[in-house]
Amino acid sequence: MDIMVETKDLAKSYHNGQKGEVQAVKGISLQIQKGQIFSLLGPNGAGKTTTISMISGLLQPTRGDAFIGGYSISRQPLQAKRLLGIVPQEIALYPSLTARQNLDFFGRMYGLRGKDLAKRIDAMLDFVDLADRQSDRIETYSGGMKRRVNIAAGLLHDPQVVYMDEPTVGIDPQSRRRILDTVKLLRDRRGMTVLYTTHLMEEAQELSDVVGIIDHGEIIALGTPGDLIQQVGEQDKLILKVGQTVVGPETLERIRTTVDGVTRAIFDPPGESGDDKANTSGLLIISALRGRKALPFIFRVAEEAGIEIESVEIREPDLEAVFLNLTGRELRD
Amino acid sequence: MDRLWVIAFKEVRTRFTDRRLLLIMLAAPLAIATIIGLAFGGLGRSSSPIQNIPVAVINHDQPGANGEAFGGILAGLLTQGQLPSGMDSSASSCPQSSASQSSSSSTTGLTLGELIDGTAFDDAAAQKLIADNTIPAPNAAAGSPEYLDAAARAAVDKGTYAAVVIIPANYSASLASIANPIQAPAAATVMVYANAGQELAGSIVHSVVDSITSQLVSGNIAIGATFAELAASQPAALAGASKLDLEKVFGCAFTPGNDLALLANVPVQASPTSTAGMLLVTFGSAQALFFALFTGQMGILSMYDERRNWTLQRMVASPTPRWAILGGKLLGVLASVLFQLLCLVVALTLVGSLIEGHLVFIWGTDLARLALVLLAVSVSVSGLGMFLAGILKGIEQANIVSSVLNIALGVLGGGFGFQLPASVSQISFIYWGRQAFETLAAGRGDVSTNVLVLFVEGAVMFVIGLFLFNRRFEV
Repeated sequence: MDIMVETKDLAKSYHNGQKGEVQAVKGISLQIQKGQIFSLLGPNGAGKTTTISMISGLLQPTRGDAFIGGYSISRQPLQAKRLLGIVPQEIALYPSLTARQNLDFFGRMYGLRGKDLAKRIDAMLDFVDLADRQSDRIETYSGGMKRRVNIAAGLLHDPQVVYMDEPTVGIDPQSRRRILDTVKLLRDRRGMTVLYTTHLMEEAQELSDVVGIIDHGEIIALGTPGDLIQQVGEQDKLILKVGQTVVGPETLERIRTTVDGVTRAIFDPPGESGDDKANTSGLLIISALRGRKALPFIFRVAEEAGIEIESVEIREPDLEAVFLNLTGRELRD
Repeated sequence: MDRLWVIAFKEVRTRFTDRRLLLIMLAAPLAIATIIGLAFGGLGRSSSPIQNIPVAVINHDQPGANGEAFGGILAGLLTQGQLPSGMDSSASSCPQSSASQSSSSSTTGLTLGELIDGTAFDDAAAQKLIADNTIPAPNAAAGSPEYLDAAARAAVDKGTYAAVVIIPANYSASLASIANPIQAPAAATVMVYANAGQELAGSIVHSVVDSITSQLVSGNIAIGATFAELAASQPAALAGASKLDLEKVFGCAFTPGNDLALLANVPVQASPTSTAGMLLVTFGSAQALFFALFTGQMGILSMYDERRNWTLQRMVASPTPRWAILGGKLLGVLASVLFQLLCLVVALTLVGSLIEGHLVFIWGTDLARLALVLLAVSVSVSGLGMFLAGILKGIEQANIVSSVLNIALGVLGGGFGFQLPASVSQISFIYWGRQAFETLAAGRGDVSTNVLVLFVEGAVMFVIGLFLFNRRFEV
């Protein structure tokens, strides 16, 4: 298979006045084959956007290089960019212009002109099913319609690689389903390589041929969703909400050693990781084979330790569990 | 290269399809200028507050060798609103005079007599002002021309007069030399000294003097041409002409077409035909420039908005060089400002014409210079926008600073209905732009200093701003 996107020791550092030099991306090397959907997963601040921005030519890498279709984004940017389309998370369109005027402008940015441009615009408007609204200003569109035009603008020049950054954020389930089908269509019918970022595990699991998990500027796992989930094994994830109670290390150790099937027990205190941390309640996170069977024994230990359990969630192995297993943190934190 | 034009066109298109921006760019300045034009310019002559402009007239003119007294004509028109006795209505015997008179009856606006309240400023007038401590005694020999000129200037500075018109001693000789095809023309300068706080009145007086002088000049050229032709074809007839005949030729040379005698009854030529027109030029141009500042700055600072909305990233991710993106953006802003000003110039012309009841070119008829001034102003506005984008950190800071700065420039430049002394106003490019528009409207063509100041100011700020912005701005 042809390699469509490749990064070699791609790194980016920033100078932060107080913290000194901050390494946002620490030398990532990866290869994405032609016609693959590659999803990059990671929590906020993990380095997803910086990595993709360097691959797209929006940011200059501090070290290393990225290649699109064999062209270096640093040394042959115009050739590389011709092969790449981007669909940002933001609605990157001009609200006071119509859908057609927006597509006309971005098509011209890729060198399309005249009848070719008009044909491509017509095809894209049909593809996203907005031909009948093409003369309306973008500001009059619903959120889902804007997203569809946003996608059309990224695909207008028929790129070989398309980067989609969380394209389903903030839209209704019907539009979301439509977009996911569109992404699959791009791969299956057009052989397009899709670089996809999302924080929704189910999306990544459904779409991706290859998943890269990034944390603290490094790829910590890379493979097909199936391969990655296998790394976690058959273990279930038990997530017990414990309110404001602090679970001490001796309790965690007791759960690990006395309850059959438990391989790991960690405590995630409420709101410790910063303002954007989701859990307002302390979480007792346990990895266990046959989790449901282990649950009564875990309750007993907790009761003996004076821990009041508010709720319990049992998660089958998935990409979220992979991330949890690798980092001890939830992906959405 | 063509992508630069695509981006520039997009920039203009997005500006002029955004209804909120259109309100700021066109509706607001047009409404404010129109309201001021209607409120102070009035719909007819009776409501106009700008009339009876107090003007001191000093006539140093010495009659020419053949007894011509052009200084007396100018002084008479300014002080009495009509030709001196003995010259008036020689027009009746001239072939085109009746047509001119009939056409004047339909013209609206102020007559010269209503517009200018001229006073012959002599030694007695000077002594009276000195005696009642209105002005200090000038530092010159009493009774000398310098003494009189200095006293009149002091009276203007004190606000007793809006302006003083000083007719030089060689005024007649200079004009007469034009009629002599053999003699080289001699130069003479009529000085109009105006109060800095009454710039509008000063501008009107200036254009009145310009108009009368230009008609005297054209009359003398006509006489010169007639005599030259007579001397060549019928030298005998010229030798036998009586003094009376020559006086008649002389009177008619000034009367038909140019209507010097009718200046007393018609609005001054070569200046905006009404006070409303002049007010629209003064306040309309200041308002247009003031709001153009926002267009220029918002245009360039919209780079931050584009970055936030990711449209900039979308452009950067396309195979378009960075210089084309930045260049297209800047070109688009320049074109937007130019188009905005052009729209306002046309719209204010229509407003002025509606007020007057007929088509009036309130900005004058020198379209080439008008276009040059519009371009210079656009460069200056865009340069300031680029400079702000270069020195300010982020859109929030830019919004606050640019608003305060624009208001300050508007105040300094006379955009809010009052004038500061020229030495202070000159800091603001609005002053230079407004003055250029007024100069063109008054029919005086020399706007080279204004255009130069605007271009240089804009270019310098543009280069500095572009350097800083390019160095600092990251996608």
